Amino acid sequence: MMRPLRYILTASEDLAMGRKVTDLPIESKDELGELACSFNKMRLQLEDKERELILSQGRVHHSNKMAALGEMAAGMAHEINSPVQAISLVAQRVQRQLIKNIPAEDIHNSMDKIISSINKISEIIDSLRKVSRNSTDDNFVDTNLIDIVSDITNMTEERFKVNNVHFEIIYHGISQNTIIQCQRLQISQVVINMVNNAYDAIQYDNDKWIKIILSQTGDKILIAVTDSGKGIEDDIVEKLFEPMFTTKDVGKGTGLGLSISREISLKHKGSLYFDPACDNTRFVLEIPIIQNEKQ
Amino acid sequence: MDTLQKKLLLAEDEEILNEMLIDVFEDEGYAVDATSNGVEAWERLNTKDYDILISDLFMPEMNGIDLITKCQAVFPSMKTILLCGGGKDVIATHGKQEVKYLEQEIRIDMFLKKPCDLDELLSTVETLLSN
Repeated sequence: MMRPLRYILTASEDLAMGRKVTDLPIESKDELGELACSFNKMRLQLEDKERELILSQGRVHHSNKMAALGEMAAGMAHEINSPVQAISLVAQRVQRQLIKNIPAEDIHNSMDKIISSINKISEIIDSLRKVSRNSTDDNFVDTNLIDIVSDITNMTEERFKVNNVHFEIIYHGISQNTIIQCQRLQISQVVINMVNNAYDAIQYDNDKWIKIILSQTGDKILIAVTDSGKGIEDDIVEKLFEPMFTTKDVGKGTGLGLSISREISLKHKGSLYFDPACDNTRFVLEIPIIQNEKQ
Repeated sequence: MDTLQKKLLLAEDEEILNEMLIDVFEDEGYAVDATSNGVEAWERLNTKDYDILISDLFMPEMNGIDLITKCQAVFPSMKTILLCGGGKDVIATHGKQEVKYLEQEIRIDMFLKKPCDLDELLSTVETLLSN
């Protein structure tokens, strides 16, 4: 009698600790056998629930990401329209110049402006392509801080301009050419998420601003995103980083979610946290400049 | 029309577009000053006389609607053209004078949607300045 009980006890402990558990042998038709049978059913149901939860989290993540891309697409459409206008004007001007026999050098300069505008459009499309792909398994590489900032501004700046949000990036005691070892797109997506959260919080306010302050403390880079909001209630702060927790309306999730963003910071041996000492609303991403080993 | 006497102020934050508009209007003989945001444009309007203001809508510091509204209040004889690529907060029709922006109805001299035709832009400026 003790042996079957010990099997059940060990299996229960393994299940509670998240270890892999196989079906218990049902060796008798008495109560112990029934207990083993029930345990096996419970194990299967728990596995199904876990699979459902993972799928559901994946769907929410994907839905949030699509919502974020939708929002950013509006800003990017506006950003693309300006170089398109420049190309249109330049081409029309060249047509006039050709009629008036203007020197070739002037026409050459006009062509340079067309090429520059096309390159700008290409950059915008490239940013969108980068942000929309799955970068979870990217290598950790040496990344220039300014490239991360560029990823962020390409995806957010225009949207803020159109919505009268004052947006500023400040390098505080750190060079913009500082190199850090990271998965560039993952870190960029985390900061874009922080910035989008800030925007969502203040978009209906009168005086709207968002600041990104980059600094260094010891061997870590700090990227602090502060907005003009007035902080977050204590009971909400505790839940902020829970999976699938949101304070936003249905359909309004606009990014990775703080839960996944925190996972990315932990993967970089760093941290992501709310700063309660700030009078406004501030989230900080901290990551080491150098990883112990490239992954 | 003697365009050398006509002074034009541009407010456009996209550098390439600004450069092109300067070239285009100087080709036609206008005296052109260019600024890259609404605040800078407003400061320039208060230091020098201009005949016409051509402003983009979405700019840092002060948008084109606010700039034109201030301009109309203080310089009622100055002509104004608003250029805009669109955007969900703007309700306006190309080539018209009524713009609705964030529930506010604004009257300007002309609204042109980007990308606009160069001939149309130049003829609009000429028409406004000859009225």
